[in-house]
Amino acid sequence: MPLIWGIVVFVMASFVILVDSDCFMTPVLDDVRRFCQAALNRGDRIQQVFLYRSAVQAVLPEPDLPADEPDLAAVLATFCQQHQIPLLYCATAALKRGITLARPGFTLSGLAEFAGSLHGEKLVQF
Amino acid sequence: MTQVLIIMRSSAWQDSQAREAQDLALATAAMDNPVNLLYLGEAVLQLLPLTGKPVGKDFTVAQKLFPLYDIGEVYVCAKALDQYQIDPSSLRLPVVVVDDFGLAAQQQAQHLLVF
Repeated sequence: MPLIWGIVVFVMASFVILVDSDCFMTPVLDDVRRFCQAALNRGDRIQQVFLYRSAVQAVLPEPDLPADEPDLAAVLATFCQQHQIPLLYCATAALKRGITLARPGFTLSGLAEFAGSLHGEKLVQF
Repeated sequence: MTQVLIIMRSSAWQDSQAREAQDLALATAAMDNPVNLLYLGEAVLQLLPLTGKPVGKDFTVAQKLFPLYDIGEVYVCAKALDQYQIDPSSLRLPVVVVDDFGLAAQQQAQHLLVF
């Protein structure tokens, strides 16, 4: 059946995203959003975006940003909501940084949740 | 099973990097992922026994728990040991000394994380 050999099977990839860089000093949250968008455009799946270390600062409620600075955390949260991507942050890392409240769109989580998601997925660190 | 290699590149007390990387390593291993660790550059200093009491919490004592958490190999860069003139037998843990920045271990891993 030569025709069958010609069929390309499209294999969907599934990604876990770990963000651990400083999200106010760099535009990393925009990088993450663009990566996720590109993956979704390809038909891939984003299993979760997990914020760790300095990146947990993204969850700070009511950040008082300068008027000319985009609120990349809010943009990422909206994006993840639209595409039903779990947007998690590490509770311990947040508490160590004095963050006890989170803005809407970010879900309290822990390292176990991240570690339990790795089976068979592709992992990308930002 | 997922083979995770966590690459340590920071010294122990400079900032929170080393501590939070080790926390992540233990949590990842606790969830039944096979985890290996690779210490490069100044990160080898994390494995030295303390000579005094640190001001902050001593997270490095948890290295004793690596076997309990089924953490596989602890790779250490030969170049870094040479640079800091450290004899591997003086480290807290039995380690595997590797050349070429542990490239072989990096190639074998399914997931790489760098801290």
